[in-house]
Amino acid sequence: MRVSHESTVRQSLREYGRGVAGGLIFALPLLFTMEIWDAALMISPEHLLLYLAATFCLLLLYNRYAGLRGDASFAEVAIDSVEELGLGLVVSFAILALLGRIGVEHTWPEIIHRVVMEGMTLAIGVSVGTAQLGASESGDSGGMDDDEPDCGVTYHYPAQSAIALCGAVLFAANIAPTEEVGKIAREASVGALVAILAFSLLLGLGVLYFAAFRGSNHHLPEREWTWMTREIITAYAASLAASGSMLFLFGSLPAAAPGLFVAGTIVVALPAMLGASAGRLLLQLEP
Amino acid sequence: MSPTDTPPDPPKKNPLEWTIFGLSLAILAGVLGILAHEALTGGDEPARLVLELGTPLADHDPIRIPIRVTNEGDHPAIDVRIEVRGTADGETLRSEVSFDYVSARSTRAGWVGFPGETIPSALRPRVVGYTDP
Repeated sequence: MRVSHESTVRQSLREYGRGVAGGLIFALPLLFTMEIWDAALMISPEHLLLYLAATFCLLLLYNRYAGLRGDASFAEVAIDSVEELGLGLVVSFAILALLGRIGVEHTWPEIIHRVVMEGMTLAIGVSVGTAQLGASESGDSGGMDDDEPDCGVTYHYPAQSAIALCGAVLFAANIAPTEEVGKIAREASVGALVAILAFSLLLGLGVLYFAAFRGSNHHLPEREWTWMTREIITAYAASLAASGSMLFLFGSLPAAAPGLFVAGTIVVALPAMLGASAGRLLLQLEP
Repeated sequence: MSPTDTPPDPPKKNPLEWTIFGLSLAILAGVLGILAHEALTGGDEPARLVLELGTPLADHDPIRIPIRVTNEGDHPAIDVRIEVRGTADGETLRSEVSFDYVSARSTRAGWVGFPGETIPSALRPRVVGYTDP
């Protein structure tokens, strides 16, 4: 990615991480939309091919004029666009599988249709996330670039926890009132819920500490595992609190069915964790 | 050759980036291939639903009977409503199940329930209706 300069493997991994985060920020509401799941099964393969081609053209345009440096060649732009499409499809597959929207009971065409339908928005998000969500070149070196805190840090645990809660509420509020939460929660096995929980934690860890996300070095300068663990647990606690509160307030799931309510809380905590990590950093102005 | 005629340098990428690019290319080629194959070989036959009843489970009330619906057509069927009729103790019983969708060349499974302890005989499933996308 961003091939107009040679990156180290570490830098590339961070760019992919930011790309995945960006893709999820853009596409999470669609990934939780029943109409999109169903529309994917109704759409003809010809239209899906057109959608894929149109998205590729959009990625070419974005990467040419906003994503890469101005001197990037067409080959570089095309290579980046292919990578972003591939990442979008892979992330789409993973999230749909995690949410139980694709599985062994589906045929290959059904799986491909759903993955492509959701993956295109993800691919655009990957492109934007890679280009725009990284640390600015001027000040914030971001994440663990040098494994040293940036100067002018603003770390304050209570403040960061509060903003994490704000981010979690912001993202959870888009998903919690929808019928899809109940559907996913009812159909999810215990194993699937554990997988969603684990993915949420990994997502938060990746965004906050490994993707060199914009502002991460200013707001989260400490890189020791004890600090990182505290931040991740706090962010996930904020996500669970936001998720459970939203489900309760909106009456999306019956509180009288504790198992279902807990399952729904874990499901909504996935987008909430994105808010408590990426959303939190985007909510804060860079110093 | 003047400086302006110099061909552009090949993209500078590390091994990880080349690997991701290669995998992305392979995934895209696979997806395009499957969609193209589907587009070229898919027919235009409307949804054709075939029903199949499984072995009833009479371990508790209601008696449950598994049912599978297979769409052998080329178009999906939306809001598929299926009725199953049977006879028990001289009385005609009726149950029904619905599926949000049955896409082309796919199978969905569900259950219908009947009250009582006697497994109905002469079970006859039928598609009540469905809508086109």
